[in-house]
Amino acid sequence: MSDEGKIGVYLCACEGEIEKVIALDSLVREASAWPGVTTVRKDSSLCSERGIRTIREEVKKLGLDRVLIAACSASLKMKEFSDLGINKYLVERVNIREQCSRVHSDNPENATKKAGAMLGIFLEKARRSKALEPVTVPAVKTALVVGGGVAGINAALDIAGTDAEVFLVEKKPVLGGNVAEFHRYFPRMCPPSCGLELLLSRIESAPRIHVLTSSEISALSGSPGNFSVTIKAASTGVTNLNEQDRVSTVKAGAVILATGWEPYDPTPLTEYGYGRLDHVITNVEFEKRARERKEFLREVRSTAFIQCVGSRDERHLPYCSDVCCMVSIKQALSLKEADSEHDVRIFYNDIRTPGEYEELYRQARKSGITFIKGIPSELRQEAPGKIAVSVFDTVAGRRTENTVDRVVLATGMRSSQGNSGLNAKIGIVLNKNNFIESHLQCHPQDTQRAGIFSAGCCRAPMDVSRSIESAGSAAIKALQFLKGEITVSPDYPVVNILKCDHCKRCMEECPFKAYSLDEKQFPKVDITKCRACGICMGSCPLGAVSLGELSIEQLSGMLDVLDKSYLGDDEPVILGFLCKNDAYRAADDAGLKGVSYPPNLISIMVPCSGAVNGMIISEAISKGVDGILIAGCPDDQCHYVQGSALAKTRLADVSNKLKEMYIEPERVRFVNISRDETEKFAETVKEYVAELKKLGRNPLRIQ
Amino acid sequence: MPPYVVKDKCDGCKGKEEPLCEQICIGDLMTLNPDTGKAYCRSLRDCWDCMSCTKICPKGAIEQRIPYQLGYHGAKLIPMMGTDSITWTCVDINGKVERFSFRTRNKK
Repeated sequence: MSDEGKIGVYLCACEGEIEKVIALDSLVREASAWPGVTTVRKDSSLCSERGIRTIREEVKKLGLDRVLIAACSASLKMKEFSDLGINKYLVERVNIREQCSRVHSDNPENATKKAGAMLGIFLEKARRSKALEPVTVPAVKTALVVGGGVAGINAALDIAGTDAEVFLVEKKPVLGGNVAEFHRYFPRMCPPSCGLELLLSRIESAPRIHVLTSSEISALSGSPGNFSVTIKAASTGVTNLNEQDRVSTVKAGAVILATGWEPYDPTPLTEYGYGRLDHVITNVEFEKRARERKEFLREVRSTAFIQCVGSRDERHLPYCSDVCCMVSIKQALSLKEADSEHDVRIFYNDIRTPGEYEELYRQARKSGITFIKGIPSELRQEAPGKIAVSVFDTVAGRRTENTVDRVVLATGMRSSQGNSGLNAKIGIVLNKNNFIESHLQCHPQDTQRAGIFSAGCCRAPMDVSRSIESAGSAAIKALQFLKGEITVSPDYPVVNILKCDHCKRCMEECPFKAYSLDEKQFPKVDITKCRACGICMGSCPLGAVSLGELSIEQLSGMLDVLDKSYLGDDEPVILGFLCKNDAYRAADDAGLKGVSYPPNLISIMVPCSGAVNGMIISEAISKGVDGILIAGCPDDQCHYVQGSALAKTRLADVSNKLKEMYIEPERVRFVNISRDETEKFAETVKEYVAELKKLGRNPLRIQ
Repeated sequence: MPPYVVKDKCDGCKGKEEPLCEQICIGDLMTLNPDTGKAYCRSLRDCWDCMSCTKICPKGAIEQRIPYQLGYHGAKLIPMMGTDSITWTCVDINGKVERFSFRTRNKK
């Protein structure tokens, strides 16, 4: 502990709420005596204009180099306390309201003791904090859009509407993608030649869009803001047979993947006889033929549509393909429009026409289209040009026999085959259905690689309007990388090369593949790829990796100064490492939800439970902490993909070690706490305290 | 007595070319078995029982048998590393457990 420094400690009474429970005056006296503390002040409301002004004035007058604010949770009032006339990384927050006064109001004496212990450890953290400034990296003002379908075209146009350049890469010789070959769009039933051709002419006239057709991307390197993408143009094979594939490299600040979809091939569903029976076609073929020849719609007198071909089927596509219900209704309506006597039957499981599309369904019902709830088990060729469709109608409760001239299979959408290759080429992670996904509900546009976004059907099955929407949202995300420079918050990790042993575990465990080796073979984080989760900090077996806002040295120092007997010798002390996104906030809510937990727990906010290093846990136990509680998100909700899972494994390692040392392995514990599980959190702490009381004191705790 | 690698615990430092035990071993005895992806000691009789590999292993997968001059069968010596400290657990042949914590000179 160094006694240098000029630290200002400010305690907030929060208009009496905190002071009602915690004896702030005794804390003021206590803190005044600590080395390095220049001033200690109690205020009725620190976040008020007057409170902020007081701190600002004192920072200036006394030349404070650290400020400790003991008030509400650090997840609140961030803006107010970010501008105190001192680098915001030198301002430390101590949560004596949400995690002390509010939850321990039944025992003011212990609450004061806990607040004192918290003040002590966070003062030590503040002592070791460093001033950090955001880093600005130059970036190219060029975007690369992969896929020239409706999503890709729209994304390219949206970006080119600013001052950025766009390269639009399409593997086919022409732009337009799948929908270019279609007959009609729903719900307004306009032909693609209307909307799409307008877009294509805009692309042609846009000066900053460079279209590369018959081309594919083959490799990607570099960092967000400065990607280097290799593009392979297929040889035409016509002009010069010996012509090799032409390869070029494009510098791009951001990449949008709009690789689209392809229809599911219904051949494996042998019961429908696709390819075997005459006049059994897919919905995509229907579109193409209707576009080619107007007579197609009048050629036959009766048509059956079979829904969910391949979709919602564990053996084929487990998901709903989203558009097929509307597509069949649209096609059925065009048949009716061409000939109102046309006998149209739609065989379905469930008709899904969300939102405004319900209107289409109602229209279809009115126009005399027959909807039969039941999926045919088999199709038979009854006579040339006649197909027998036998189905158990689950509404009527009986089997019906139908004879039709043509059957349309409403096949589902699968992500374009290109997706699987993308994984290897540019390190994109696909979900179990082969779509590009990172965190569907919170960041649908993102992939697991910074600076690379997804739009359209490569993300999930969607219709034209949603594809265009997704293209817009991906373009906006991409534009943040196309401003000519990227500003990175300084929370990213730094590797202490004096301690590093080149084991590369940080590189292996980083969920965003942000690490690479520098020229001396030390791991180096690419700050533009990093999302500051700290999983690398938790992974390092030598404690050589530290985040900007929370270093290994700070944690170790905090363990040193923590008074392990702050509640007396017989009370266990638990150190909690709570994940910033979920568990910490869940714990913050305890007071408001009217639940409380014993004051034996002091918690430290970590960006992800995966950021807690095994050495720090071991050290806490060696330094006499009775129990360690790590709380992370439920495994499938972790914002950093695998943080909670890794934290669990690391805790298991420490727990095994403790067993060998004849120390109770229960002294370390992991719990999954989601954002709203405040009660579970309080219950866990209560149980844990009771259990630790039974176990007795940590044998390594010195009296 | 040479180090013993608990195969279930060892993850070969994620299968990278040089695991930590290989890097730390002053006798260059520890190495990775390319077939199993687990570490092993390639020359048992050359080990000097320095326990560097035991201390550094992040998975706690390397156990050390104490040489008989120090303690007979049943005696154990288990290190646990912190960032600036080490805690030794000594178990003698009668099962008596003693623990010692020290500061290390790893600069903070």
